[in-house]
Amino acid sequence: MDKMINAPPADISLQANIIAAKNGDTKAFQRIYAMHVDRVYPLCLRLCADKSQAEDATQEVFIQLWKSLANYKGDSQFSTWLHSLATNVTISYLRKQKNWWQRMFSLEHSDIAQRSAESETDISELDKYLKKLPERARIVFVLHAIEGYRHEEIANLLEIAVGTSKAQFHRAKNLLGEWLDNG
Amino acid sequence: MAKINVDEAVAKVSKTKMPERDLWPGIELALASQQPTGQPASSQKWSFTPVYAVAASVVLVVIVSISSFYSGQKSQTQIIAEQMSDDYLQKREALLVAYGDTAVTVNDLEVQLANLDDAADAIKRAISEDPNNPVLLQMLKRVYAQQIELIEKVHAPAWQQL
Amino acid sequence: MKTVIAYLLALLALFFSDIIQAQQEVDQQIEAASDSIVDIEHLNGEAEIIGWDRDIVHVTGTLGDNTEEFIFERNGKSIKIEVKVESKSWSDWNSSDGGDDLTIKVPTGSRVKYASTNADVTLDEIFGGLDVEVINGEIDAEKIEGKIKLESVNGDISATGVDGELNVQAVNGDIDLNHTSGDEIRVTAVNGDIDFTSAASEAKVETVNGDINIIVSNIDDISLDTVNGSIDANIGLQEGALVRASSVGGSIDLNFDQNVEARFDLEAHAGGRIRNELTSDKEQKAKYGPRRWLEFSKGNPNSTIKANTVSGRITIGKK
Repeated sequence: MDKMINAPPADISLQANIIAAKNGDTKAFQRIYAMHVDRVYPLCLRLCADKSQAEDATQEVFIQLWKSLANYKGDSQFSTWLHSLATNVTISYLRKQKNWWQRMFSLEHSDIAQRSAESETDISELDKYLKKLPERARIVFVLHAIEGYRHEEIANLLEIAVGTSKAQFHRAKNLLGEWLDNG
Repeated sequence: MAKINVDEAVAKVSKTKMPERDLWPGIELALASQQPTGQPASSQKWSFTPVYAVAASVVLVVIVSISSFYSGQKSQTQIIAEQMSDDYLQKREALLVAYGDTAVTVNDLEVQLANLDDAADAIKRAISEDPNNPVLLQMLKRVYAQQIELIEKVHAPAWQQL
Repeated sequence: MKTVIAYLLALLALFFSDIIQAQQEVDQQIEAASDSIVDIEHLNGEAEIIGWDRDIVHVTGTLGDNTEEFIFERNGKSIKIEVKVESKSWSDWNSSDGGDDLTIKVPTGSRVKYASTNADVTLDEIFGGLDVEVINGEIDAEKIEGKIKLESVNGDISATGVDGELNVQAVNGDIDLNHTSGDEIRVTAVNGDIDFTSAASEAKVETVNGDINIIVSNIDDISLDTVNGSIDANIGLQEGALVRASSVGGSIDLNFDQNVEARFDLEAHAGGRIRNELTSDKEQKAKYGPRRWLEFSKGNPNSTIKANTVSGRITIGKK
């Protein structure tokens, strides 16, 4: 998508599409989807560390977006608002996955080593190692270091103490550092 | 130097990526089963944890305004709890019907289910005393899930049908 | 020679199964990969499955009176052992027909799958993983490694010397475990007590009516849930850990290291109570209604402890 500094045409068309979608126009909503999916999907992918879950989560995000459009008042950047929604929905989605146990034992992802050996094209080198992190450490690291959430916001989202968020972040950073060092 | 190389790696991370397959058709299908301002298909709501769902609050605004007209002030949590109960009872009925006369491997399934029903009632009573408590809702959901699991586990598994 | 004779006997048994009432002996072996997948299925009796250091699967013992067919075959790395019985409705079974009494030796690196209806099973020294399901019967495992799943409907489960990811479930049965190493443990019992020691970093324990009694020394993430049973947990924490416990009517007792540094978030509802033996912080009461709560931090909190009960009692104490 064009990122023009003065942003008029793309932005106007986004606003127009939002209004139309709020009134039930699914074609307009599809355009909104097309404009933003390439930003939502990698967020889901990093949080879920699993392609098929990331695809499910991405769909959930847009389904929830459809239902929540009424809440968007135009008072903040749409992409920021959507981003926050996407984070909430993905975390919720992860909790809903029957339980971590079944995720551990399901056929597609039998163990962490296998997951990181899969031939999925990783977006960046770091992504290869993000997948190896324990789940909570990974989620905290992705939210803080990559998505820019503060520890207070993360603590709120995951229902943990701020200190826990910081500790998990440091653990993730140490592990990633070791792996990056050892190649 | 671990700290530096992690920061470097984070800086190099790309924030855009297209999914490998087209996800729109699945989304379109889901939208088709709903109203634009969101009364979701009820089966979907059963397992959806409402705590963080932005959409749930939209739905609830609709439900609360209708329900409070009919039933006096009920908290959002109570309404979700009641919806959860209804959905669960439907699912339980459907399961028991589906199993039909299949042999059961314990001799007191009804007693155990009744036991769990009592626990669910206790939690629902607590919810009415302490509305807006998401932990209680999660406990209720867990008790219902335990009942479903129990029903599934005690019906003779396929592998040993003779 | 012995194998041939045994095979012929088994064949005869097949043809004359209505006439021969005496139990059939079995003594057969097949060469097997050291990392075989051994799939065992039979209905009644007893089974003993032992890992040994030979690349052979060896079955000895007796087969039940109603045995129709004994299958023992290999397909690449997979070994199948199955005792088929005459068709009867499932609920006609009783144990007076004797059932099978089998001793099965497998290469110690095998992965073993076992399923039976009315049989007790013991498993020893199997290091490639286990998937055990019994309906009515006890499971006893010792020195096992890998991805392990043990399930019973009516029967106790005990496992010691377990190294690996452990998943144990019983409907009516007590569970007793010693999980010496491995990252994850999950235990569920409907009516049965759960007792274990584990060094796993992730744990999930659930009962409906049974009591939970555990010692966990290295927790990053644990959830403990019961409806009417009690929870008694002795917990050692990693940094940044999350502990979550809930009960409807049962009591919750969580004991930590004296120097634990965590934020505590405790709630009780209809008649439940909260007791703090770790610090001097006291429970608060809601102005209206029976709700009580207690939130406090100890030290420089990096872990989070949450406990919630409807009508039970929560006690936080020292290990």
